Amino acid sequence: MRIESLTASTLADAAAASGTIIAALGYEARAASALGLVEKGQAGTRRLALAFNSHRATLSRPQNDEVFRQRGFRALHCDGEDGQTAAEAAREAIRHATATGSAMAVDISSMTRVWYGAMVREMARARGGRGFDTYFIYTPAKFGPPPDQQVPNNVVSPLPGFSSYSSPDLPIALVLGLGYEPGRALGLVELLDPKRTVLLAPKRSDRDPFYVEVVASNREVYDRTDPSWCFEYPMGNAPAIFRLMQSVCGGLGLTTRVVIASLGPKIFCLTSLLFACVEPDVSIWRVSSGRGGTPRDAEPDTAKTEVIRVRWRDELSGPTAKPQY
Amino acid sequence: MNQASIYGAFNARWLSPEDVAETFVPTPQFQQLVQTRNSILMGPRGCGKTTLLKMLTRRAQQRWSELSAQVGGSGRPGPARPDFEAVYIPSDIRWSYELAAVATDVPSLSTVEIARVQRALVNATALAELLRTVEDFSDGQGSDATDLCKRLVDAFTPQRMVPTFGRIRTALMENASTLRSLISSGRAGAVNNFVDALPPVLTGHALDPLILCCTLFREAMGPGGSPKRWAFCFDELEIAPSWMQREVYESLRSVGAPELTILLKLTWSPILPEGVRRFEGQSQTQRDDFEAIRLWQSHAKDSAGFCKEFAARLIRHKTGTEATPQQMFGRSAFADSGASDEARGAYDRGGTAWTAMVALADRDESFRSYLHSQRIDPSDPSCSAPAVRDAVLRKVKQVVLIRETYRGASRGRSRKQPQLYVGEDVIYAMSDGNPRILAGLLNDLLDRTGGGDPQRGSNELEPVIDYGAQAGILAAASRRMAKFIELYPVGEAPKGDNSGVRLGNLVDRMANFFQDQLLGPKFYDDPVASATVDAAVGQGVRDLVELGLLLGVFISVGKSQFDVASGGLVGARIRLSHVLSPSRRLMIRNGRAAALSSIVRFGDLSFPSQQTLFEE
Repeated sequence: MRIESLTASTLADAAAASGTIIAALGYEARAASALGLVEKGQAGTRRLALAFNSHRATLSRPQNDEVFRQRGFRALHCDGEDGQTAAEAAREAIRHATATGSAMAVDISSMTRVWYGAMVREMARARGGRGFDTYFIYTPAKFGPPPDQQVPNNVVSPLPGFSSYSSPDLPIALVLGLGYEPGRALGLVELLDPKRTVLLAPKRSDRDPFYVEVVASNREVYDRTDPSWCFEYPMGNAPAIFRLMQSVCGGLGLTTRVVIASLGPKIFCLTSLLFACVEPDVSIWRVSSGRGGTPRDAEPDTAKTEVIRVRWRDELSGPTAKPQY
Repeated sequence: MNQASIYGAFNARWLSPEDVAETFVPTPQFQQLVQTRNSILMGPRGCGKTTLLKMLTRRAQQRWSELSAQVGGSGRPGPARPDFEAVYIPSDIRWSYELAAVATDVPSLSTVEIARVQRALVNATALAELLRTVEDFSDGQGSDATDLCKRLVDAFTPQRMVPTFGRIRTALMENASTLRSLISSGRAGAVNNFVDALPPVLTGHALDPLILCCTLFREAMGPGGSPKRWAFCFDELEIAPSWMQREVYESLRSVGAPELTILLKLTWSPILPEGVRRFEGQSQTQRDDFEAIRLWQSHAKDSAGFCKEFAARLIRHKTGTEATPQQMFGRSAFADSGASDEARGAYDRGGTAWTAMVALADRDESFRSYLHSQRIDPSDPSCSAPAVRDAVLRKVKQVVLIRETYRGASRGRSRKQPQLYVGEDVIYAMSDGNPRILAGLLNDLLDRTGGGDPQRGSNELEPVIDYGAQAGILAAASRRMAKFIELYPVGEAPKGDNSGVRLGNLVDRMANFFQDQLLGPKFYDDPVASATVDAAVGQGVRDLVELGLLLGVFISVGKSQFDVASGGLVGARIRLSHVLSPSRRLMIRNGRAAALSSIVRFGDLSFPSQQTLFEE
């Protein structure tokens, strides 16, 4: 499948169109924010929950277990690093979507990158049929201070399914979506040793506390990066992020091999995965603490929930066959 | 230029061979590398392996000749010329990780099938690079080149096409691109079918396609129209897939044919490859099958010549002046400078070393006792006897300066940046002769001070860049290295190993031990400043040591500047990189060695899971 269009949408549209909802069942309070969809959605909507095997008694997990059960979600238990279960859930949803003409809604708010990466990969790999729509839903967390301690970078690798395997005859350009955990960015820069580093920081407004923390936590990387390659991207506007990626990576791709790594909000990672579906020469990498991280709750900031509709088609349709982002 | 890396501005991997030639500083190691024999370039990141390999290529050599001619033929000394045609075969860590990712992206492939896919991708890249060289060599040879291209099409591409070098390279890259798309699709069957349809030579032994190409070249062009010898230069082999490492290293024993000489120029980390060490009964010796060329400096004085010339060129380039490094940075009272110290009267009454010793003796009972034991007056530690100055005063100078600067309640809390780690000698020593680190330090010093005050520099007490500014910048660089160690992604602990030990933990433990030797209650005239990797150290720590050597965090200390540890890691002597010295308050000297196992045990018991650090 190819991406025919990527546009902003609403929860109401997602609820009305979706025959399958997939969400993550974990310890974050915002894991249950997708359930509002269920109450507004179609009757008979299939409900799948990717349920974390770990931290079953941590933070909001016990309450989430009960809420999801009451709402009729079928739990698919798996590890955060297990993409196979997520891929199977996506395949099931795709089959249903192509058979019925309904869409699928995927709430990535509490998912791991491996999970929604696996699902995006399945959507891109799907073949035949009329195509389908996916509504990606993301609810950011209310602002909380960054962790006190620097958490080690234990997991650094290409995201499964998103290696470009491009020949090493060109230098690397590293496009970093910054987060506010100190040290992540610098660690990846040191590992890949890129010729060009591009910094993308999330920003809602000049007084956005998250933006302030991101810049402060990454001061060292900023100090050593050419300012003309430091940008901000608008939170709450995935199509604009997508177009920014096109603009930044378009020129870089001529003389470098681009790696995109998301260290911050999941909406940036999701957009980068969708971008990689359009530009397969771009690799998507991830950095995390792995099992070394400490659970932190995330209260949903539902006023900032973002919905993106991605239209997948087997061949680009229409007289111009030009994708719309 | 991107500066985000701790290594600053210099990375030969980004540069074309011509660009490498523009800034090349000839070294004795390049003289070794151009010899007509197999070579293994050994050293950590940034030590110049890629630069030297690229300098072997035709394009770099041509550029060097042009530059020499521009200076009237007498300006630049010519490096030795290779008597072979070199082909540079690139790699990097992204390539290494992504080749490994085939297994996760197409999980139903078997191990053999994964290796075949990797071979197809790797061989396409290597062959494309060789074809570039072949094209350069055969440029303008008319119908012979066409005949060659036809043979290459038959051998390497399943498609029919117009036989030109460019089309063949494009076809190879298009095939690789198709394979990449199939891998991304996750369809094992389609991947296998595509690989099966490729010419078998592209999924065979790592060297087969390259040797075949050279053979076809010779057949088409004749002995007079083709190189007598080829050198395949494999960069970053230490992070290549294991099958490739094995096949390339096995080929060190014999490769090529009587009429076609193939040389291998390889890179590796500071410890010789496992495959080489483990050959049983075949004892692959340095003398017979390859020459191990060491690219790191474990003794500060060994790199001084290279560093001085490198620094002079960089200063000229950035400032447009002919200021010498000594004028720019001055000298440090801290560096071991032998005769120069004497010339400056460092040990005479009122000299820098003498003053520090008197001050320290005044408040350090342990040092006072030491001087007494050497029959030296603590209130006047001058001595005209050369033997005493060598055996005692010069020996303890660094220890005294560090102890005098940092030991004591008021010292430790001083806000003023001590100006111990400053000066030309210290900058070179901090770099350990590593070009990338040296470039980073010099760029920082020049950029962050705007080149300093050109009115200064007439005497070493007033260098162009004042000592205070240098101290702050070099201290910051040292802290950055410490942070780099902390942040370098090392992966999760192997299954069953719950030690949680990271590279940063090991570095901290060693630094604390060495610092205690310098700043502890007892004065040592020959403090421990290096470690011997003993058999009692467990595999977890050995793995960290290997990683540290590859990253340049640890420096392997041999008996001489040419010594390469050939017996594996156990028994090797290592020290911390001198770039850590300012932030960890350590000497710029190798110092005495202690067993690593005893150093790891040093200090508090919070060092996690010590029982997993040691052999049972």
